[in-house]
Amino acid sequence: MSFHEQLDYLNRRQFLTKSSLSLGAAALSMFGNPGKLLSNTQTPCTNGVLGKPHFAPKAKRVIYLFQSGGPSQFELFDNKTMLDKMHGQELPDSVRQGQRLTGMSGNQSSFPLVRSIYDFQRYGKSGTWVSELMPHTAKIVDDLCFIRSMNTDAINHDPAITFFQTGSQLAGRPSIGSWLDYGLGTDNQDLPSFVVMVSKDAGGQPLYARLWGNGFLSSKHQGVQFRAGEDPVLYLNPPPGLDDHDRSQIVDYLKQLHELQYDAWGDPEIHSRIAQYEMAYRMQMSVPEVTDVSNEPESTFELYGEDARDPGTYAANCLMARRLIEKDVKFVQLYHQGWDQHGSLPSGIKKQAEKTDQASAALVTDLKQRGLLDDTLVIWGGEFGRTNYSQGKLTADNYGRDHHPRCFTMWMAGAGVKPGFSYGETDEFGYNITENPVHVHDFQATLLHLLGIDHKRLTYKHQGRRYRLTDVHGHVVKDILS
Amino acid sequence: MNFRFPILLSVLGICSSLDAEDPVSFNFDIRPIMSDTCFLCHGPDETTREADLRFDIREEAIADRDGSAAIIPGDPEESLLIWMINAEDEEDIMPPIKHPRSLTTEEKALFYLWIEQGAKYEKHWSFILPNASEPTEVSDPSWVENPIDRFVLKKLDDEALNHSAEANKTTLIRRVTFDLTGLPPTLGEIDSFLADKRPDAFERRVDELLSRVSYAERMTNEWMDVARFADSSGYSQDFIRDMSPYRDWVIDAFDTNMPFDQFVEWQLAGDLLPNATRTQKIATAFNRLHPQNMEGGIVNEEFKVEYAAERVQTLGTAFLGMTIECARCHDHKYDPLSQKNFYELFSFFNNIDDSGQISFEQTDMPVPTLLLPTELESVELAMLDKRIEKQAEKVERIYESGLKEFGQWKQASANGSADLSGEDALVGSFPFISEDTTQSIANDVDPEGTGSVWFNSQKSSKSGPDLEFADYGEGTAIRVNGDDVLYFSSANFFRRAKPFTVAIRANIPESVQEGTLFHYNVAGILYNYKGWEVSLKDGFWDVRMAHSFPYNAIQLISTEPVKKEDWQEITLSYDGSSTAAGLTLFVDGVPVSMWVEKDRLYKNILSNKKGARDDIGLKVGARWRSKGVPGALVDELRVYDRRLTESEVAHIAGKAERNVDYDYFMNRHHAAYRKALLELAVLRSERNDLNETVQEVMVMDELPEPKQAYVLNRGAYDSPTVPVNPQTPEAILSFDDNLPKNRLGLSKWLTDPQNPLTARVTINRYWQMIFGLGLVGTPEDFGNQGHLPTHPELLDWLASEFVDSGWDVKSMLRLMVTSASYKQDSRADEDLLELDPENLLLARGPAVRLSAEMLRDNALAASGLLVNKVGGPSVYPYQPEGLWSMNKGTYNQGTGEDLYRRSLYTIWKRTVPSPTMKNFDAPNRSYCVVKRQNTSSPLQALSLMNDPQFVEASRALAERVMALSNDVEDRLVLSYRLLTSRSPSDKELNLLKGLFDQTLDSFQSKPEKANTYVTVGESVPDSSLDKNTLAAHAVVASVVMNHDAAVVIR
Repeated sequence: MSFHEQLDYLNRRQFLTKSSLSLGAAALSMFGNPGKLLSNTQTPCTNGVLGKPHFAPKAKRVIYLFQSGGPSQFELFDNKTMLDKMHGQELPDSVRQGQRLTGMSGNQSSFPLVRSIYDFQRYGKSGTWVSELMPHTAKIVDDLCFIRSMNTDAINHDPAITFFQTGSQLAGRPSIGSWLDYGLGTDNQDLPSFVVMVSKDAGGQPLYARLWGNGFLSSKHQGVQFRAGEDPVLYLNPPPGLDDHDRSQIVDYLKQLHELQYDAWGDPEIHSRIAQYEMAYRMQMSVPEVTDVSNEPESTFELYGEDARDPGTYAANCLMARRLIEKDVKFVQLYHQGWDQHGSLPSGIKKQAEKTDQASAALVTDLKQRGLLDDTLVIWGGEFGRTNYSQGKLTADNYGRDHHPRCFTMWMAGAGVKPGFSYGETDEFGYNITENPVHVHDFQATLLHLLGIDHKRLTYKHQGRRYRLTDVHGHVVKDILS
Repeated sequence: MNFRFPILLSVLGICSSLDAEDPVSFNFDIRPIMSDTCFLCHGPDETTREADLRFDIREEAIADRDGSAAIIPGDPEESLLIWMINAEDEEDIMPPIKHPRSLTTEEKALFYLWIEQGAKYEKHWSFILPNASEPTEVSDPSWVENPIDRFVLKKLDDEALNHSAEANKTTLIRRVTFDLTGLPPTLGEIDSFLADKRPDAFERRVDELLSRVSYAERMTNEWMDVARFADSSGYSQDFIRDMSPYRDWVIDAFDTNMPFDQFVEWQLAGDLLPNATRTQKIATAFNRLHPQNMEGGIVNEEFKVEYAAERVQTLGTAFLGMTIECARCHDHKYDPLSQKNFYELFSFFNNIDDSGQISFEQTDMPVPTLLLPTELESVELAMLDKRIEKQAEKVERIYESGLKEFGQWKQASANGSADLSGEDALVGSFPFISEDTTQSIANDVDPEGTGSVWFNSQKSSKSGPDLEFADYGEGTAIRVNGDDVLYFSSANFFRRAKPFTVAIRANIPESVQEGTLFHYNVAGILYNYKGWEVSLKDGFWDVRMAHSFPYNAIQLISTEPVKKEDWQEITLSYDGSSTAAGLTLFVDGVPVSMWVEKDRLYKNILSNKKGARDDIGLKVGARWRSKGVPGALVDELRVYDRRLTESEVAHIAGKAERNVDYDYFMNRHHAAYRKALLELAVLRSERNDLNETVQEVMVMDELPEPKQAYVLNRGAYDSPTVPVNPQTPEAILSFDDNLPKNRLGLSKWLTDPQNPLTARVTINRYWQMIFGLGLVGTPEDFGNQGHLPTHPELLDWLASEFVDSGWDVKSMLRLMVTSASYKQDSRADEDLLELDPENLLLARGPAVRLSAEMLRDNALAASGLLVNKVGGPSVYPYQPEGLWSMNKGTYNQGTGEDLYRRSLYTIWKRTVPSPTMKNFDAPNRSYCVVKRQNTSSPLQALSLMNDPQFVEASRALAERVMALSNDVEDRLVLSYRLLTSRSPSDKELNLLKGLFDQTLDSFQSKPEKANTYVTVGESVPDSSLDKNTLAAHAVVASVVMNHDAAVVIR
């Protein structure tokens, strides 16, 4: 409606009378919000800023299996017969359409198309194509919702992974898990609501603490990294020589000292410190319990694989994710590095698949068996895809693939997404999206939606602007919702 | 400027009666609402403006629109704005339902009143020059210690509140010592202060604190957040690089109380000052501390733009309190800052020869850089320079004296003894024959030193196509494919002090416009072109020799295009001088006319990584992750270990007659001359080696020709639109035409007394440092979306005073901490807490949690472990193992002193910062931060209880008190005092005793526990002490360390 139309419209509706504005001192004195000067007050509160979700959530918890480095869609999920046909031939300019390439393959004298060296078959009732590298995932395709039309703005690792996890390519914004903790708070008073695990010894592209950082949100919203070994959370254990008894005694005396301090100063912050130490103490009790897998039956390790006995492996972390979810931890973020196959892709990706396939599938199966998949969302994916042409020389049994932001595949499973479903299409070369593109911001909007959050309404005012995870973008991908 | 306490804030006080006659302030009542709710669609940004209506300019807002107007001054009933904000229909209402914020009834009422009163606009408060006089009438003049108190008291009077009594002396000395030095007072200092009954005892204490170097360290710590100082580059693998000389310069600047305007000038533009000193240049590192990316494959220009934009953002946050970065992609949504303004500021900062992709060679400091030799190194370098100069003179002398010998030799050589083949210097000769394979390319000089092919130009690639040969009239050539490089490992002697010549025959196809023909590089931009190369660029010859391109490099570009589709002999000769003049490119024996693009090579050209150094070698036809010369034919590669003379080069090219000249004679046959040249190379090499060990820092160094900047559409590096030149936002202050249009002019503009922002923003930041909360609660944003000042007149007065004092930081801090306002007791009763939980009105003193750094420094100081060493490279205190492995780093924990330095010196790796520091809200240091968060999380408790740094400090403290007294109670009191500065109350002491006794019991029943507990940390406890007692005292110390009394300055 233009200004003038509005004017006309309103002229017809003389609704305003002086009486509608009662301007007495009494009215002014009753003003609830005393303005921005007082808007900063922090209240010690474990509930999120939203109080309750914007609408009924489908997912109560999320496990995000981040495959860092950019797994090749061509060797795993996106079967392209055209590449079989045109193997070794030059990537047509009509397909590339001037797409920016990285400085790594951009200077090559040729861009030969390359087919997957691994075979594909259809699986499940859904008839989903999966390659031979993912035999376990193949068995659960009817539980999975594939998005084949993911795309991103970034072409290099650091900006791309930062973009996926924070909605911006540059450092400084809160991560997904931090937004959730800020918005929804926690369902468990004894454990952090946002837990991060990184597969040990995976090598590959670097990771950064900012990927689970709080950005401009309060640092209490940062992800807490669980690590393999004696101290699953940094500084969790009392110093050597002190036992549980000493620990509880220390916290108890500290509390008494704090009570005296409160009597003397009357500052409510002192009570918040008491609560802080009690929460730390509860964490000290509950973390070892949740990380101790000795009570898991044999069948667990049959399901997740023997690796799951070795703390810090991807499989062990998947198992840990399930245990945390059982305790109502809201967001569990795993990272598995090493998917960056610029060269020697056939051998490299095989190793990656071997380390991750069984446990990823086991996690979905396990959650399903326990009835947790109904309200837990599992996500699998990397920061971008890979090129349909070979980086480096294409030989009979070897090739590489460079970064490709225009299309790649992710899957989700569980709460609120359609099982046995594939969404989005790429062209026959697997280079461009032909149908239903899903941008990173769309993915983020959808993720928030599943948790009952309107991505446009979870905001934080910083430097004069209301920021949100999806910046000024993002559409909920309704088509994949169940 | 006449400020009035805004109507809305009056609810803070005992509500003064307000009626419709009370004037509504545009700046305080109306604009904040407008900015937050209207400006998004009806504000400065033209591209998103709706209905062609803007409210940020009065003329536009009241403009006639077919007989009506959005705002009709004096007539709210007819003003469309009032209708729209009161619309009942969800479709009509403004702001629209989808807007994240709606208007409250009271806000609507304010609009109504304001329009009724004439809808007066005012310039945004922070753009009006500070101008305030002290209030004369206050309720309790006897309380006033200095003008600050008058302003504070006036506000309290207005709100009918009382100030608080002065805090007790113990509280005061702890507060002021931490605030000014970041450290606790020692027990001796506390006692002497308590005993000092002189009326100016506190002022004396303040002066003494301000004179300490720990004051400078404390101020530096605060500035490090502003300067986003870190020890690592910030992206991807996040290499460590040492920029401590900049940090140490800041310490020195605060220590000597450098006037703040000068402090700003040196950092922004020290390099542009007349006869800039080394120190002034170091200060400019401020502009280079932003994160920089070494990830392979990124677009160089994209990140160059990113860096310059980051410098603008820092300028905005640090000095102007403006969110300028919001105008990078579009006009600012709330403040009068256009996108053009942004890029005009950008153009001050893009004039340096930096690289968007910094080198993957971890040891190479991103350019431009400055070398900082120590005094000893300077002397040694000067001595070597002297010797080199003398040797060069000697070389010249010999050269000039050889004429007679030349004559003699010429006569003798008339019968053919002249040898122009250069064979005396030939160290590699690869004729390229059809028998060559990818495994072995024959070398006529050294049969063992064969060449080979690196597939994909990578050592690790094991398979690829066979060599392709082509016969041409004069023999067999190799056709290179541009991807697989011909690699000559035996030709690996190239150093910048060493002369050499490399020659090759080549036939370059028309299609090649850009690519490397032959080179001595690990890679192209990935290693910032370290080494040397002969390449084509846009069809012209491009010869480079680089340590780190573009700043630390030589680059020559031919004046004529490269000849294509024809055979030519390409020869590069070099004389070891590290200068452009020493590099000559010949085509067919004739020197090529070249433009000198860069001539500043001052460090080595060889990788510092042993593997890379061993592998590098001369390479032909391709380069890793770079363009090669696909389709080019190459033949007859020859390598010589001296500079061949022109006549030799011509001879080898087969194009010239045997032209035996003087230069040839001297270089080929004059023994003394040749010896002198070798000696010169040895000296240069010695100098270069020494030079490599010299500390190097990033600095600014302006390019001689300003680089044209453009408005970038949507902020994208590859979408330049309108050209722009250095200029400042007119809404703040126009740029004086007499100022130089560079960073120096910009810094003068910033500290021009007419600039309304810099002094306010700075003094607000320091107020925040002392009082815990700024007078403007958003120190980063003095714009429309920022908070309004709680005490506008005070802020203005302080800003003016700051400028009038000659930007004297110490005197301003002195003024703040000696005010009665600062010295108040921080206790608040329930009424005051409820009324003013954040202490905005200053009816009480500040109570602030210690910063991450102060917490650790307090523990170290109290325990006696603290090492008071100032400056130097950052150190590696305790950190859990393995944290750095996620981006391939290794944390080599320090030992001894390094474990106990002030936290200012703790290594800061941006992508994996120290967990304890992070838990206590230390910012990432990836961008400028002027206000830290203040949070409370269980992770803080875990750190403080269990981080070995604190556990060890507790034990050291226990040792300390055991040495001071034999009495348990005394020791407990001492522990408590050392950590909190005050003595425990009886009740507290009883608790400490109870804890001590129980803990001692527990240890005595299991002595092995105590034995283990006291070994935490590197320092070794005194073995004569009873371990159980020691451990029990340590537990008590640890509890006190976690106690509010130690953690919060009250």
